[in-house]
Amino acid sequence: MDKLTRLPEIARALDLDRTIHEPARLVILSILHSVESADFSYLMAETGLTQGNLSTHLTKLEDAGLVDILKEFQGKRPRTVLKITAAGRTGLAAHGKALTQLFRMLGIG
Amino acid sequence: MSSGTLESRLFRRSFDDGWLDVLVGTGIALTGLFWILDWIAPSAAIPAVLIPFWKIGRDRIVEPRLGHVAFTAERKAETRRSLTGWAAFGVGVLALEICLIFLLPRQGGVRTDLLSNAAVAIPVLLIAVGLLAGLMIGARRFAVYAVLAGAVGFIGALLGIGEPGYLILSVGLVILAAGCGRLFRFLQTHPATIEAGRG
Repeated sequence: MDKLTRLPEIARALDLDRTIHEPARLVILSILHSVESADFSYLMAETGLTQGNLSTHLTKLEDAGLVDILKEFQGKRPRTVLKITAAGRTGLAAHGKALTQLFRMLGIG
Repeated sequence: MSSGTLESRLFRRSFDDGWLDVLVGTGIALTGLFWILDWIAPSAAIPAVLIPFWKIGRDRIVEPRLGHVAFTAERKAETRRSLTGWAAFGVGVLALEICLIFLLPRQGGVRTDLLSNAAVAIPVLLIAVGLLAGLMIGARRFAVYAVLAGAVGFIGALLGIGEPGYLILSVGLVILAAGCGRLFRFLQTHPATIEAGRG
Protein backbone atom coordinates (compact mmCIF):
# COMPACT_ATOMS: atom_id res chain seq x y z
CA MET A 1 0.00 0.00 0.00
CA ASP A 2 1.25 3.46 -0.86
CA LYS A 3 2.62 5.57 1.96
CA LEU A 4 0.15 8.35 1.15
CA THR A 5 -2.81 6.07 1.79
CA ARG A 6 -1.62 4.96 5.24
CA LEU A 7 -3.23 6.22 8.39
CA PRO A 8 -1.07 9.09 9.77
CA GLU A 9 -0.72 7.32 13.14
CA ILE A 10 0.64 4.23 11.41
CA ALA A 11 2.91 6.28 9.16
CA ARG A 12 4.31 8.10 12.22
CA ALA A 13 4.86 4.81 14.05
CA LEU A 14 6.71 3.37 11.06
CA ASP A 15 8.86 6.51 10.94
CA LEU A 16 9.87 6.25 14.61
CA ASP A 17 13.52 7.12 15.22
CA ARG A 18 15.21 3.77 15.82
CA THR A 19 18.03 5.44 17.74
CA ILE A 20 15.50 6.59 20.34
CA HIS A 21 13.23 3.56 20.09
CA GLU A 22 15.77 1.04 21.42
CA PRO A 23 14.70 0.34 25.08
CA ALA A 24 18.03 1.10 26.78
CA ARG A 25 18.48 4.34 24.83
CA LEU A 26 14.85 5.31 25.49
CA VAL A 27 15.45 4.87 29.23
CA ILE A 28 18.75 6.79 29.11
CA LEU A 29 17.10 9.67 27.27
CA SER A 30 14.13 9.63 29.67
CA ILE A 31 16.42 9.88 32.69
CA LEU A 32 18.48 12.66 31.12
CA HIS A 33 15.26 14.45 30.14
CA SER A 34 14.22 14.42 33.81
CA VAL A 35 17.41 15.88 35.26
CA GLU A 36 19.84 18.70 34.52
CA SER A 37 22.76 16.31 34.05
CA ALA A 38 23.97 12.94 35.30
CA ASP A 39 27.30 11.21 35.28
CA PHE A 40 28.15 7.83 33.79
CA SER A 41 28.06 6.04 37.18
CA TYR A 42 24.58 7.39 37.94
CA LEU A 43 23.22 6.10 34.64
CA MET A 44 24.90 2.74 35.28
CA ALA A 45 23.30 2.51 38.73
CA GLU A 46 19.84 3.59 37.57
CA THR A 47 19.68 1.52 34.40
CA GLY A 48 21.64 -1.55 35.52
CA LEU A 49 23.48 -1.55 32.18
CA THR A 50 27.08 -2.71 32.08
CA GLN A 51 29.82 -0.18 31.47
CA GLY A 52 30.44 -1.42 27.92
CA ASN A 53 26.77 -1.55 27.04
CA LEU A 54 26.05 1.91 28.42
CA SER A 55 29.11 3.29 26.67
CA THR A 56 27.95 1.89 23.31
CA HIS A 57 24.46 3.35 23.70
CA LEU A 58 25.82 6.74 24.74
CA THR A 59 28.11 6.83 21.71
CA LYS A 60 25.12 6.18 19.44
CA LEU A 61 23.10 8.89 21.16
CA GLU A 62 26.00 11.33 20.91
CA ASP A 63 26.53 10.54 17.21
CA ALA A 64 22.82 11.24 16.61
CA GLY A 65 23.19 14.59 18.40
CA LEU A 66 20.72 13.59 21.11
CA VAL A 67 23.15 13.68 24.05
CA ASP A 68 26.17 15.82 24.95
CA ILE A 69 29.08 14.04 26.62
CA LEU A 70 31.47 16.13 28.69
CA LYS A 71 34.66 14.86 30.29
CA GLU A 72 35.70 16.53 33.50
CA PHE A 73 37.64 15.89 36.69
CA GLN A 74 36.29 15.93 40.22
CA GLY A 75 39.51 16.23 42.15
CA LYS A 76 41.65 13.47 40.68
CA ARG A 77 38.67 11.40 39.62
CA PRO A 78 37.60 11.50 35.96
CA ARG A 79 33.91 12.02 35.44
CA THR A 80 31.79 11.71 32.33
CA VAL A 81 28.83 14.05 32.50
CA LEU A 82 25.84 13.48 30.24
CA LYS A 83 23.21 16.01 29.17
CA ILE A 84 20.32 15.69 26.80
CA THR A 85 20.48 18.15 23.89
CA ALA A 86 17.62 20.28 22.56
CA ALA A 87 17.37 17.83 19.64
CA GLY A 88 17.20 14.98 22.17
CA ARG A 89 14.29 16.63 24.00
CA THR A 90 12.44 17.30 20.76
CA GLY A 91 13.09 13.81 19.47
CA LEU A 92 11.93 12.18 22.69
CA ALA A 93 8.75 14.30 22.75
CA ALA A 94 7.97 13.44 19.11
CA HIS A 95 8.62 9.77 19.82
CA GLY A 96 6.28 9.82 22.81
CA LYS A 97 3.59 11.62 20.81
CA ALA A 98 3.76 9.12 17.95
CA LEU A 99 3.55 6.13 20.32
CA THR A 100 0.73 7.71 22.35
CA GLN A 101 -1.31 8.34 19.21
CA LEU A 102 -0.82 4.75 18.08
CA PHE A 103 -1.80 3.32 21.48
CA ARG A 104 -4.84 5.61 21.66
CA MET A 105 -6.05 3.97 18.45
CA LEU A 106 -5.86 0.67 20.30
CA GLY A 107 -7.85 2.09 23.20
CA ILE A 108 -4.99 1.57 25.65
CA GLY A 109 -3.33 4.97 25.51
CA MET B 1 8.18 20.39 36.58
CA SER B 2 8.48 19.24 32.98
CA SER B 3 8.65 15.50 33.63
CA GLY B 4 7.15 15.17 37.10
CA THR B 5 6.77 11.50 37.86
CA LEU B 6 10.14 10.13 36.77
CA GLU B 7 11.93 13.26 37.98
CA SER B 8 10.34 13.15 41.42
CA ARG B 9 10.99 9.41 41.72
CA LEU B 10 14.63 9.85 40.80
CA PHE B 11 14.85 12.72 43.28
CA ARG B 12 13.33 10.57 46.02
CA ARG B 13 15.65 7.68 45.18
CA SER B 14 18.66 9.94 45.54
CA PHE B 15 17.88 9.99 49.31
CA ASP B 16 17.20 6.26 49.63
CA ASP B 17 20.76 5.35 50.59
CA GLY B 18 20.17 5.90 54.31
CA TRP B 19 22.85 8.53 54.90
CA LEU B 20 20.21 11.18 55.69
CA ASP B 21 18.57 8.82 58.22
CA VAL B 22 21.95 8.14 59.86
CA LEU B 23 22.63 11.87 60.24
CA VAL B 24 19.13 12.70 61.48
CA GLY B 25 19.21 9.76 63.91
CA THR B 26 22.66 10.77 65.16
CA GLY B 27 21.53 14.37 65.61
CA ILE B 28 18.43 13.43 67.57
CA ALA B 29 20.28 10.83 69.67
CA LEU B 30 23.03 13.34 70.50
CA THR B 31 20.39 15.94 71.40
CA GLY B 32 18.79 13.46 73.77
CA LEU B 33 22.15 12.63 75.30
CA PHE B 34 22.97 16.31 75.78
CA TRP B 35 19.59 16.87 77.45
CA ILE B 36 20.23 13.96 79.81
CA LEU B 37 23.61 15.51 80.66
CA ASP B 38 21.81 18.85 81.14
CA TRP B 39 23.74 20.46 78.26
CA ILE B 40 20.59 21.82 76.69
CA ALA B 41 22.03 25.04 75.24
CA PRO B 42 24.99 23.30 73.49
CA SER B 43 22.57 20.79 71.97
CA ALA B 44 21.33 23.61 69.70
CA ALA B 45 24.71 23.48 67.92
CA ILE B 46 24.35 19.80 66.96
CA PRO B 47 22.63 20.39 63.58
CA ALA B 48 25.31 22.91 62.58
CA VAL B 49 28.04 20.41 63.52
CA LEU B 50 26.38 17.62 61.53
CA ILE B 51 25.59 19.56 58.34
CA PRO B 52 29.16 19.30 56.89
CA PHE B 53 28.96 15.53 57.33
CA TRP B 54 26.09 15.48 54.84
CA LYS B 55 28.41 16.51 52.00
CA ILE B 56 31.29 14.36 53.28
CA GLY B 57 29.05 11.28 53.30
CA ARG B 58 27.57 12.06 49.88
CA ASP B 59 31.05 12.55 48.39
CA ARG B 60 32.76 9.57 50.02
CA ILE B 61 30.02 6.99 50.49
CA VAL B 62 27.06 7.66 48.20
CA GLU B 63 28.39 9.20 44.98
CA PRO B 64 31.20 6.67 44.38
CA ARG B 65 28.39 4.07 44.27
CA LEU B 66 25.33 5.87 42.95
CA GLY B 67 27.09 8.45 40.81
CA HIS B 68 26.32 12.13 40.60
CA VAL B 69 23.10 13.68 39.38
CA ALA B 70 22.16 17.33 39.12
CA PHE B 71 18.45 18.01 39.26
CA THR B 72 16.63 20.74 37.38
CA ALA B 73 16.65 24.39 38.40
CA GLU B 74 12.94 24.11 39.28
CA ARG B 75 13.63 21.19 41.61
CA LYS B 76 16.54 23.03 43.24
CA ALA B 77 14.37 26.13 43.77
CA GLU B 78 11.55 24.03 45.20
CA THR B 79 13.94 22.23 47.57
CA ARG B 80 15.48 25.55 48.63
CA ARG B 81 12.01 26.97 49.37
CA SER B 82 11.09 23.87 51.36
CA LEU B 83 14.34 23.93 53.33
CA THR B 84 13.90 27.63 54.09
CA GLY B 85 10.41 26.87 55.35
CA TRP B 86 11.75 24.00 57.41
CA ALA B 87 14.54 26.18 58.86
CA ALA B 88 11.97 28.85 59.81
CA PHE B 89 9.86 26.13 61.38
CA GLY B 90 12.95 24.85 63.25
CA VAL B 91 13.61 28.32 64.65
CA GLY B 92 9.98 28.43 65.79
CA VAL B 93 10.34 25.02 67.43
CA LEU B 94 13.54 26.13 69.15
CA ALA B 95 11.89 29.34 70.41
CA LEU B 96 8.94 27.33 71.71
CA GLU B 97 11.29 24.89 73.47
CA ILE B 98 13.21 27.75 75.07
CA CYS B 99 9.90 29.21 76.28
CA LEU B 100 8.87 25.85 77.69
CA ILE B 101 12.20 25.21 79.39
CA PHE B 102 12.82 28.62 80.89
CA LEU B 103 9.34 30.06 81.41
CA LEU B 104 7.09 27.16 82.32
CA PRO B 105 8.94 26.04 85.47
CA ARG B 106 8.62 29.56 86.91
CA GLN B 107 4.85 29.45 86.70
CA GLY B 108 4.57 27.03 89.55
CA GLY B 109 0.87 27.62 90.11
CA VAL B 110 -0.06 26.51 86.63
CA ARG B 111 1.87 23.27 86.72
CA THR B 112 -0.04 20.20 87.66
CA ASP B 113 1.32 16.67 87.47
CA LEU B 114 -0.58 16.10 84.27
CA LEU B 115 0.78 19.23 82.66
CA SER B 116 4.25 18.35 83.87
CA ASN B 117 4.04 14.88 82.31
CA ALA B 118 2.73 16.31 79.06
CA ALA B 119 5.45 18.97 79.04
CA VAL B 120 8.09 16.23 79.21
CA ALA B 121 6.73 14.82 75.97
CA ILE B 122 6.62 18.18 74.15
CA PRO B 123 10.25 18.19 72.89
CA VAL B 124 9.91 14.74 71.33
CA LEU B 125 6.50 15.68 69.90
CA LEU B 126 8.11 18.73 68.32
CA ILE B 127 10.78 16.44 66.88
CA ALA B 128 7.96 14.31 65.48
CA VAL B 129 6.56 17.34 63.67
CA GLY B 130 10.07 18.22 62.46
CA LEU B 131 10.57 14.70 61.09
CA LEU B 132 7.56 15.22 58.83
CA ALA B 133 9.78 17.61 56.89
CA GLY B 134 11.29 14.46 55.35
CA LEU B 135 8.11 14.28 53.28
CA MET B 136 9.36 17.36 51.41
CA ILE B 137 11.90 15.15 49.66
CA GLY B 138 9.32 12.41 49.22
CA ALA B 139 10.89 10.17 51.89
CA ARG B 140 7.71 8.63 53.30
CA ARG B 141 9.67 6.68 55.92
CA PHE B 142 10.08 9.99 57.77
CA ALA B 143 6.34 9.97 58.37
CA VAL B 144 6.85 6.60 60.08
CA TYR B 145 9.68 8.09 62.15
CA ALA B 146 7.35 10.98 63.06
CA VAL B 147 4.62 8.55 64.18
CA LEU B 148 7.23 6.65 66.20
CA ALA B 149 8.40 9.87 67.88
CA GLY B 150 4.79 10.84 68.61
CA ALA B 151 4.13 7.41 70.11
CA VAL B 152 7.29 7.61 72.24
CA GLY B 153 6.21 11.05 73.48
CA PHE B 154 2.72 9.81 74.28
CA ILE B 155 3.97 6.69 76.08
CA GLY B 156 6.60 8.74 77.92
CA ALA B 157 3.91 11.12 79.16
CA LEU B 158 1.67 8.21 80.23
CA LEU B 159 4.52 6.52 82.10
CA GLY B 160 5.47 9.82 83.71
CA ILE B 161 9.09 9.70 82.56
CA GLY B 162 10.64 12.77 84.10
CA GLU B 163 13.50 13.34 81.67
CA PRO B 164 12.65 14.25 78.05
CA GLY B 165 16.24 13.43 77.07
CA TYR B 166 15.53 9.70 77.40
CA LEU B 167 12.57 9.98 75.02
CA ILE B 168 14.61 11.98 72.51
CA LEU B 169 17.54 9.57 72.79
CA SER B 170 15.34 6.52 72.21
CA VAL B 171 13.76 8.06 69.09
CA GLY B 172 17.20 9.05 67.80
CA LEU B 173 18.62 5.57 68.35
CA VAL B 174 15.73 3.90 66.51
CA ILE B 175 16.16 6.24 63.50
CA LEU B 176 19.93 5.75 63.63
CA ALA B 177 19.51 1.97 63.63
CA ALA B 178 17.03 2.14 60.73
CA GLY B 179 19.41 4.44 58.85
CA CYS B 180 22.38 2.11 59.46
CA GLY B 181 20.34 -0.82 58.15
CA ARG B 182 19.34 1.14 55.05
CA LEU B 183 22.91 2.32 54.48
CA PHE B 184 24.25 -1.22 54.91
CA ARG B 185 21.77 -2.48 52.29
CA PHE B 186 22.79 0.35 49.97
CA LEU B 187 26.49 -0.52 50.37
CA GLN B 188 25.74 -4.16 49.62
CA THR B 189 23.64 -3.47 46.53
CA HIS B 190 25.76 -0.63 45.15
CA PRO B 191 29.45 -1.54 44.96
CA ALA B 192 31.81 1.36 44.42
CA THR B 193 32.48 1.93 40.74
CA ILE B 194 35.67 3.38 39.32
CA GLU B 195 34.43 5.48 36.48
CA ALA B 196 36.42 4.62 33.42
CA GLY B 197 34.38 6.83 31.16
CA ARG B 198 33.15 5.51 27.90
CA GLY B 199 35.93 3.07 27.20
